Order: sequence, then C-alpha cells, then structure tokens
Amino acid sequence: MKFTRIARKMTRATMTAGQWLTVVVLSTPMIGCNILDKGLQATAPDKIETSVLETPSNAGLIVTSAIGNFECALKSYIVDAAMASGEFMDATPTAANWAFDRRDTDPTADTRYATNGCGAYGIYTPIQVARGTADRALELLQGWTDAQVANRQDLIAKAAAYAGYSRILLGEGFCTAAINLSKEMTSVEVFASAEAMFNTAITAAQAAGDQQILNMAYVGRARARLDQGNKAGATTDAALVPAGFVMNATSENSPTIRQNRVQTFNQSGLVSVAPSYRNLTLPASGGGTVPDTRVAVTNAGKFATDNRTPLYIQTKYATSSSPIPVASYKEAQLIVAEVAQGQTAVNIINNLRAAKGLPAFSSTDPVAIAAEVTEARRRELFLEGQHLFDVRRLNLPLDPAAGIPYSTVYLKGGTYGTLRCFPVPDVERLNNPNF
Amino acid sequence: MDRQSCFSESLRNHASRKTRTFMKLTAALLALVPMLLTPTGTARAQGGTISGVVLDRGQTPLPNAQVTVQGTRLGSQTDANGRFRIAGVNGTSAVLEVRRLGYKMATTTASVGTETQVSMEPASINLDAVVVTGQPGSTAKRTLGVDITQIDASSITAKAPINNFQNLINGRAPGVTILQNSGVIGSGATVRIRGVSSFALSNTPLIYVDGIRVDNAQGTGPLNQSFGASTTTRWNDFSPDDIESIEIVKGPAAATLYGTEAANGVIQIITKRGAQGKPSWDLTVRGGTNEFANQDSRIWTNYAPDPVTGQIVSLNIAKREADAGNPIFKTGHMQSYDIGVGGGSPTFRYRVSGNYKKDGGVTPTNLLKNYGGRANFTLNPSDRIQIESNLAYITGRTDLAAEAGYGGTTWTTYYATPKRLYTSAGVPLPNNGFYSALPEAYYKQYQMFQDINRFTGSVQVTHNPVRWFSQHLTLGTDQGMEDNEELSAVHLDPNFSYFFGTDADSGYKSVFTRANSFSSLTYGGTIKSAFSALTASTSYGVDFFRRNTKYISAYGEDFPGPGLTSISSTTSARTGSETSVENNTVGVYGQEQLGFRDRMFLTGGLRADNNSSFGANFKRVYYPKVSASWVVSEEPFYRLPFVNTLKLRSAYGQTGQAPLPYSAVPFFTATTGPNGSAAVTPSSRGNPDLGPERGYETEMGFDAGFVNDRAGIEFTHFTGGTRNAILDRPVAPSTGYPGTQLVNAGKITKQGNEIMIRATPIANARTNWDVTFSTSTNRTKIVNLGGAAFISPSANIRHTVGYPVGAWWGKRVVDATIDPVTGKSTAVFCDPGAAGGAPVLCASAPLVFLGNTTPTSEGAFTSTLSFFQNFSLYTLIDFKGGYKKLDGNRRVRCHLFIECRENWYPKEFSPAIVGAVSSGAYVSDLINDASYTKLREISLSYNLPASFASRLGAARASVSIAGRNLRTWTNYQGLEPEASFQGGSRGFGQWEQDVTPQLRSFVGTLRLNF
Repeated sequence: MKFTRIARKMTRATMTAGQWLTVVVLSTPMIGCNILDKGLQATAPDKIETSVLETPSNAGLIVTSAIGNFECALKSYIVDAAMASGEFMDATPTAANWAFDRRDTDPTADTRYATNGCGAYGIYTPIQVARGTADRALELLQGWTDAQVANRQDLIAKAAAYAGYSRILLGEGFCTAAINLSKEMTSVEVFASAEAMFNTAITAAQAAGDQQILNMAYVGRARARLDQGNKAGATTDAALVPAGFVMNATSENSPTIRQNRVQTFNQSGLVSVAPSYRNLTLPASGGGTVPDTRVAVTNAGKFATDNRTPLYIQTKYATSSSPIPVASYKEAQLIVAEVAQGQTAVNIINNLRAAKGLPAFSSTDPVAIAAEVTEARRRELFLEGQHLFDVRRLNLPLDPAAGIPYSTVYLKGGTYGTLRCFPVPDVERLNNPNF
Repeated sequence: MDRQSCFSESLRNHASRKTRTFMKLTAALLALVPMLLTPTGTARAQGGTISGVVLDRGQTPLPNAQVTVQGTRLGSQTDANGRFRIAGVNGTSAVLEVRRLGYKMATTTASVGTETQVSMEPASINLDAVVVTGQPGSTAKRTLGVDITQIDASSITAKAPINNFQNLINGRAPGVTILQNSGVIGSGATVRIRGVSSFALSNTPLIYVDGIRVDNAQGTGPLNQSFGASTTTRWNDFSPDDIESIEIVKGPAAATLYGTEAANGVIQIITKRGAQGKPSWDLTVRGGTNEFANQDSRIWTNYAPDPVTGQIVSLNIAKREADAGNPIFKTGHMQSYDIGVGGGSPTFRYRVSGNYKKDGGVTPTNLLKNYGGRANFTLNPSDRIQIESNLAYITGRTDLAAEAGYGGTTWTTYYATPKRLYTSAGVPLPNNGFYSALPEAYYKQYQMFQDINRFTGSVQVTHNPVRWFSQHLTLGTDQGMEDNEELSAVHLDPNFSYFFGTDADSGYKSVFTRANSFSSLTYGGTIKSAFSALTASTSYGVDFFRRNTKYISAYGEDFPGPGLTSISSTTSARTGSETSVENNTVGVYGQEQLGFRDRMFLTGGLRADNNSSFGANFKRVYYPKVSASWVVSEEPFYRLPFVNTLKLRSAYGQTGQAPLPYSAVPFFTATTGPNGSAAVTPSSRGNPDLGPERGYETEMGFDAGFVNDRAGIEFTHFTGGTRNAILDRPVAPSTGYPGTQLVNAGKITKQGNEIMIRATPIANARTNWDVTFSTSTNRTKIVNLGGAAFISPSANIRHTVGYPVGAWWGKRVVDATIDPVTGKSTAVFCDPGAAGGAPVLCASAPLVFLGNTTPTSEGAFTSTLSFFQNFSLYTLIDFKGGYKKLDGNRRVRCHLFIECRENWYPKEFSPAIVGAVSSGAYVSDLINDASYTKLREISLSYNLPASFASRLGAARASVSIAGRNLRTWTNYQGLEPEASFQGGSRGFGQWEQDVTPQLRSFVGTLRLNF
C-alpha cells in the first residue's frame, strides 16, 4: 500500500526526530525557569502604567490630560443637566435616559449618570475623574521643582483652575458629593473646596503671568462664591474680568470623545430642545417681537430617534467642533447684575443684548428687574451648564411641573419628578468607607 | 507588562531547596536519555491480517469501535461501515478486545486471514471505557474517583436532528446546562456546568479539541442586540459530524490538572480518526426548515387609543398579517452536506472530511453559510512512536437579524400599536401599525454579519520507549479571525427617513475584527510499575498556554449618498482603534496513582501555576487533588443481588481561574486632548495583590449496573465552591478612578446532585428500546462579599450574602390603592421585607429576593426505540427549573409603551398588577418562573435495504425525518422561556426582551456509507 511505503520511508527520519525531540524535552529543565518566566510576559501595547506616567518630563501631558478630562465631563454634564432643567428633552425610544428628563434619577438603579463615561451620558464619574486628575497633577507639580518642570507655575495655575471647575460641576449638579473618599459633603462644602482651588490658581497664574487662566479663575471663584451665597465676594471677583474674555472648552470633529456632545446629541436626534426654549422672542422697540438670537433654535421638521418627538435643533453650537464657554465676561457680568440689581443690572442686560443686536430692556420695577436677570441668565447661558443650579439656587419653577405624566403622547411611562439636583449615586455611597 | 516573578524569583528565594529539586528532576530525566536515544523501535513487522466487522447486538454496523490485539499494541478502529483491519499479526490467531463508548468490552478469538464478526452489547455501565480527559494520559473509567461524562457523539448525530455543537451536548450530560438565548440562526447558547462559580469572571467552561485548548468565546460578533450584546459563538464552529465523542469534566475535583482557568469545567471534543483499511466514505445530506411556530397566536394583542376617535382599540399585527397571507416571520430553509473519507495502513491512517452548511432564519437578513474541513492523520512509524495531527478549518458568513435593543422585525412587531396606523386626521401612517418601521424596511436598512476564518491544528507525539514509560509532546494552535460588520446605508426614501431618521438619511458603518490566537505546548510523561497486586502510575508534565486577541475597529458616519458602503466613504465621526489582550499561563504538575488488584485506586496530584494576570505581590498558586475509586463488585466478598456492577468513588480537588488580563496593574490609556493634543486618562486602579480564584470541590458517588448491566445508575453528589472569589468591586468615583477594581474577597459555596440512569427495557431480535434519564441540581450560596452585604452588578441583579449568586432583587408590589372611577392606582404598596408587617409604600420599601437567574435543576429523557430491525425512533425531552426570567417584553409593552390591556382596562386586573404596571418602576410583576419542559428532538430513521443502497453505489444507506423544538410546557408568561438578551446591562439576568424565540425545525436526512 502506498501509505505503508511512505510510512516506512519516514520511519528512519521519524526515529531521528523522536530522538531529537527527547533531547529537546530533556534539555528544557536545564534551560531553567528563564524560559518559563519569559513565557509569562504579556504585552500591553495600549496601556501606560501609572508609575511610568508620573514623571516630571510628563508634567505638560498630565495637565493637558486633566483639561481634556474636564472638557469631556463638562459636555456630558451640560447634556444631562439640560434634560433635568428643561433645556433639552430626551428623544430616545428606550428608557435608559428617561430618568434624566423625568427628574427622578434613582441612585441605586440608574447607573448611566453614575458610572458611564463622558461619551455616554456619564457625569458623576467623569467629573470625579476630571477632578482627580487635576488634583493629582497639582499634587505632583507642587512636589516637583522649577528645575524639573518648565513653566511649573503656569501648569499649577491650570491644574488648580480646572480642579476648581470640576468642583463647581460637582457641587452644582449633585445634591451631595465626596472628594477623595471624604465624608458626604454638602454642595456648600464642595463650593468652598472649589474656592480654595481657585485661590491657588489665581496665585500661580499671577506668578506665571497667565492672564487667561487668571481671568478664568476669577470667574470660577465668583461662581463658587455666588453658589455659597457670598454675593459680595462674587461680585468683587466678577468685576475683575475684562470685557471680551472667554475661556472655552474646545471641541473637535474627531475623535468622538472630543466632539461637542451638546451639538451632536441634539443633531443626531437623541435630544430635542424643550418647548420652553423654542421660538423665543423679545418685544421689538417698534412693537411686535423679534426672535431672541441668544436662544437660536430651529425646527428640523422631522422626528427625533424615538420617532415621536419633534426634533428642534439648537444652533448656538453649529458644529461638532464648536467651543463651549467655561468662563466668560458675560457670565461675570450677569453675576454682577444679579448681586447689584437695579439700574446696574438693567445696564448689564442691555449691554449683553446690544452685543447680539437685540432690543433693550427697560424697567425700574425691582421685581421685574430681578426676573429679567434670571431670564437673562436662562437665555444668555443657554446650554452652558448653568441653568440646573439656577433652578435649585433660585428655586425656579420646575419645567414641566412635577406630577405631569411623562410624555404620554410619546408613549413613555412615568411622571415628572421633583429632583433639582442629581442624588449622589450608590457607587459612591456603597464604596466610600467614609461616606 | 512583564511578570517575571514566577520561577526565577522562586529560585532566588529558595535557592538551595529548589536547586536540589531541580537537580533531582534533571538527573531522573537524564537517566532516560540513553534508553530514548537507542534506536530500538522498528517499523511494523510483516505478519498476517485480521479483518472483520463489529455489530451492535449482531445487527447494525458500529463505527468508531477500538479493536486491539490482546497483549500487543496492534489495533485499529472500525470505519463508518463497522469494518476493521489489523495487519502485522503474528501467528495464526489472536484474541481481539473490542471497546466502544456505551458498550461492554467484547473479546473474541480471530483467525488470521479470515473474516471475523464481533457483536457488542450495550452497557449502561462500562468501567473499562477509556477516558482521556482530566488525566495525564488515557485511563480506564474504573480508576477514576470523579465522574466524567462521555457523550457518544457519533451515535447521536446518526439519529438526532443535531444542527450544531451546542445542540449536541444539550440534555446529554447531567450538570451541564445549555441556556439558549435567541432563535436567530448563528447565535449561540450560554453553557454552565454545575451552576456558576464566579461573580466577576467567566462562568464558561473551557473547550479542548483533541487535547488542545481552543477559543470558547460566547457572545462575539456584531452587536445585533445592541447595548454591547453580541450573539454569535465560537462553540458552534465544530461540525458535529466530525466528532466521535465528547468528554465533560465538571468541576475542580476533576479538573485540577488543567490548572488556572479550569474552574468552570472542561469540555473535550474528540474528533473522528481514520480506520485501517481501504478508503471508507460517508456522506450526509440534510435539508429542512426553520419557523417561528404559531406566531399569530403567540405574539400579543396590543391596545391604544384610536388616533382619530380616542376609543381604545386593539391590534394583533401578527394575526393581521398572517390572515392576509403574509406572515411576518417567514420560513427559513436549511441544507447541509457532510462528506468524509477515512482509511489507511498499519503505519498511516487518515480521515479527511468537508462540510457545507446553509441555514436560514425567519427573517431574510438571517442566514448562516459556512464551509469547513478537517484532516486527521495518524502515523505509527514504529510500535514505540505515534504521531497524530489534527487540522481543521472553517470559513463562512453569518448574516444576523437585528433584535433586542437594536430594534428589527421583532421590535417593530412585538410592540406594534394602533397609534401607528394613521394620524389623528385619519391619514394612514407608513408604519401601518408596526411600532417603528415596516419589517421590509429594516431588512433593507440594516445589515450585520460576521465572517469567520478559523484554523485549529495540533500535533501530538507519543513515545513509548519501554513498556513502563511513555511521554508525549503536544503542540497546538487555534487561529481565528472574525470580521464583524454593521452597515446602515443611505436610502433616499421619505418613508425610510421617517422610520430611521439619520440612519437612512446619512447612514453609518462599523467594522471590527477580532483576531484570536491560542498557542499551547504540553509535555508530559508517565511511568508505570507493578509490584505484585499493586500498580503505580507516576505522571508529570509542564504546560504553557498563550492567548492573544487583537481587536481592530473602525467607524464612520454620513455617506454622501446612496450606494456607498465603505467607511472611507463616510464623511464624519470616523474613528479607529486597535488593542490587544494577552494572557499567558505556565504550569507544572505531578500525579501518582496507585492501584490494588485493578479494583481499588488512589490518586493524588498537584499542579503549580503562574499567570501573567496575577498581581505583582502574588506568587504562584498550587492546586492539590486526591481521589479514590473502588470497584466493590469485583471483590470476592461481594454478594449484593441484582447489582452486578458497583463502583464507589470520591474525590477532592482544586483548580482556579485567573483574573482578567491587566486587572492587577494601575494604568492609564491614551486619549485625545484639547486641540488634538496627546493626553491620557485613568483607566484602572489595579490591585497588586490580585490572585486567582480558587475553586474547590468534594465529589462522591457511585456507578452501579443492574441485570447484567442492562440498567445502570451513575450518581454524584458534589459540594464545594470558590474561595478568594474575585469581586468586581466598583471604585468610589471620588478616588478619581473610573470603573471597578478586582479583589479576592468573596466566597461562594455550592452543592448539588447528579444522576444518570440508562436502561434497555426491551432487547430482542426485533425490538430494542434504550432509555436514558438524567437530572441534576445545583445550589449556590454567597458566604462572603468582602464585608459588603451585597453587590449590584446590574439593574435588578444582586449578589447578596446568604443568597444565590446573581439573583433577582427588587421591590415586590403586593397591593395598591385603586381609584374606583378610573381603576388606576393612586398608591402602590410593596413587601416590607425582613422587617415584616403590613405592606409599605413602595417608595420606602426594601428590595427583596425575587428568585434565581440560573436554573437550579435540569435534566433530560431520551428514548431510542429500534424496531423491525431497520427503524429507529429517537426522542429527547429536556427540562430546566428553579429559576426566573425577566419578561422584558411585558416591561416594554406595559410599563413603558402603555399598550397592554392592563393599562387600559385596569378594572379587570388585581390591584397589585395595576399598581406595578402603573408605577412603571418596579419589576416584580415581570420576573416570573421560567421553568419549562421541551420536546426538543424527535426523529424517525430507516436503514434502507442493502439492495437499494447498492443501487446508489453505497454499502449502507439510511434516511430520517426529524423535528426540533416541537412543544414547550411552561408556566412562563412571556413569549419563550429560552429567549434571552445576552449582554449589556443584563449581566447574570435571564432577560427576555425583543428576542427571537427558539425556532421549530424539521429536517430530512440521507446518509450514505461507501
């Protein structure tokens, strides 16, 4: 048989191979454990060990990373806070996002806001990551020397400023929170921590001569002080901010993580602008009304992704690379207006309106002026992550009111809730031994 | 990430002791060198030839029987026609020993040069069956202190409608639970052995093919269920027609020598090999149908206000379409062709096979089409060396249907609503009542498929230089490449725009590849010795295993126009990524087995492992085992009437499971920072103390044969669990780290019983009836969660101390205050839990235990009735119980989309139901008992007359007709107790939502042997 002949021919060679195999096998123990140890080496081409990262030569990278983490968290926060505060409405067919919109976020069951990343509606964890990386950057920079790190003071100023702003979001968005496994902190305590960070940022920015970060820190400290009820301190800082200042969170078209998520989520039909922000107008000087370009919204003329919600698109952020203001002269002026009230407030409102070519506001009625300041904040700071805390801080009416069936017309269950801030999620409560 | 702490560190720390051990081992092995290098082996001597046929009870040819010449290493295997041929036999006659799974060993004297016929009798208990899994080498079942289930795969595929590998093992082994997930063709099941053993790591058994570990991934492929859920599986890449038998090692007591990662058990596939003799061909042709049985009566009637009148109206869209002669779910068609040839000489044997399969689901977008081939060779250049190679390749495409969170035909059909019939002005809507889009639109809009190219190969060299020593070296690899694609192309159709928005207006595409590479190298040896009535078998070995998986993905959105389908044609949101995951294990083991008079056996063993995923502070791990077996029935004093065979067995063993790769190391990952700058972000907090989970188990049982082994019982009781169970503990976000941290802090206990009863109630010349009944139970209990009372891995699922792993937890609605006018609830009351007393308002009620997510009992009954010599009727009925499933379809219909009768006619229902439905927040009305019994397989086979077969040029021919998933008995209120959403946030939970039920199939088969 053919196979038999082949096998016979192979016999001699195979026996040689068998002997060779025996030698190799028996040699293995003599080569010893080095081979075995090398066998345990597992490559990890996409991971950077912490010990490798945290060196002075990477100081710039570490601070840049902290800023990037903040910017990503901010965009997600604006989307979620916009749904909770009535700027946006959810327009997805499945229930995972409805709690944002319905204002009944459950700290136990709703994991999306708690642990998701900033690209997928997460806010608590992304904000904490931003704060943690900024805090760690600050800690490392303060431990290194000027000889080790060029522009160290400037990097300290940036790290501290973004650490402060992370705290602002944490305090404004969440009813309570923790920092570095601390006890449960009230929002006021969080704001105080933010103010301390801005103090550090201001000192370092002054030393480094970085006017942009200095102004950012002034606005940030003013906001932190206003949030704490320190109106005098707030207006003092706000008044230091020069006209035209703005510090943006930057965005790029690609990758997705860097996109302006407020724009992309709205454009793709995941959220729609809520009814109370559609077709806003102002009284025209000659009678009638003019569109309020501060809240530029268009009707897309189609349904959003749930196939039921009319899609209204904001045009404040035109593209996925549009920047989002983090701190601005406009915000600083509105803080001054809120604290000062009266004609000072009217003047500020009108200056801001004039910048947009909008008709002026006129009133001497304190109540009307106060209401207009609040309304100016609602419109000027539309989709900048400010309104949710205004609803809480100023006890504004919930929109839509609590108890109304949740979008029954769109086939979604439940009723609107009463939350004005997100509860601290169970992931913190259950895993923080000091909470 | 390097991990070099293992053996070199050991040498540093314990230099003198290790050196002595090392020197002893080296000296022992070197002593063998002269003997091994001496070319004493010779080619097969010339001699006479014995040939013949092996028959089942003197009637039907039996393939895959092992025929050996007593006292020699000469042997062969029967081919597909039951024939064997052994050359090189000295003398004029020889005593043949014939072994086959499921039969008593037969012994006969055969004369050289004459034709021999051997008849084998089925054995319900066969202690001489050879087992190759879980041991350093092959051994008789009588020596084992553990229960290893053997499945006679070739016999099952010859009579049952087996469509894939998972169907082959379903219901054949007690303790092995196959949890079907979706009826989409190409999707796979979840497999559990003896329940679950881990909180955070895989609970999936390992798969070995001919001694080589291969990819056992479940849930790969495009995310056709969305929310991170994929449905395809690598388990079904193995053609059932290529499999001779399957051996299942169920737990740590038996899997110790497999080391780290074997805690969930091991399933070994033993493929068919060629038999000595002239080429023997076998051809199997199958054709059949798949259907969504009784769709018009199973899919719900939904309610909503009429868009024009506001009156509540109903819609049963499945019935509407069926009545119109256009059922929504179509009949899919399947066909498959398997051909194999085997043969060879005493020195070289081969079996080469090929197969083609085309299997269509109940939607046009669901089609599996693949080609496979296998070539197994055995070379015996001398009676001292055997070289076996096993090579297999599969390629094909699986087009998947969208379902679950992805939408698709199921989504738009299950939740169809009168609201989508027309506008408030009475203008018909494009939906025509379907919830989101017309099914035909889905078929055109979304395409998802997986292409697979997979090669598995191994070479095993077995060397028997002397009778008392053998050694083997095995090299193996599994190289798989998946190409997973998802496309939503542009359709300039206003209806598509209405249905799908931007998905149709501008489209998107996603591609990801998964290149999987398994490499293994095993060397082992066994030294056998005998001292009077005592025998000893000393085994040792070293294993190296490497697993490397590379993922590359690309994504893009916004095609400029229709017809464009490549990512390079997209204009925005383009992303790409590449990552790889590697894990390596090095292990050494030793085992000593002592035997006394071939009826008492005591075995002890130890395996030491190191793994690249262990933390820097964790060294190696040791897994011990000890077992005993005693064939009492062969003792001289044995007198037990009726029980002719009795083996007692007991074993204790440990094994483990390595942490997830890189989970021990704190690290950052790269990301894009402001203005496109380079940046990093924290990814894992790591845990330098992280080690493996340690599974432990004590197993006790007996194998008993009755009435000359016409009936047999195998019973096993196991108790054990997992120590140092890894908890995927969420990191408090205030640390600044996202995600979770793995810690060895948990403990699980589990216990259960398994029983398998086989019997042949009828055995005569005209009729044989073989029956098997198997059942098993398992109970898990959480003992420790590292100080925590509970962990919530996903919504409605909790690990709670004192309760089963991954159980349902939620607020149980027990009552509600009903508005007498509207019939709707104004206050909802829940179970007060441990506090007891009256129901409390649900808002302040605790979460309570609602049930298991994993079946705590399962079993099967099989019957093979052979009659009129050529007919065979085969039936498999299986069942599962003791678990609950979340009826997500009800959740969507009643809690979210408000289209149940309960929503609109609340007065017809109990306050508790109305309360649960109207709240929309509680799940207790959704979580229901999912126990079921299913008529899984039934087939009628007929062996065609030889005259007919010969007209086809065949030696034998048979035909069969069979049905699958024909009837379900269940109290489950959902659509299908076996349907389940596979991934995403569903975690442990058996969650049925918008999933295709198991399909009813009818198959006709023609088998020819040449």
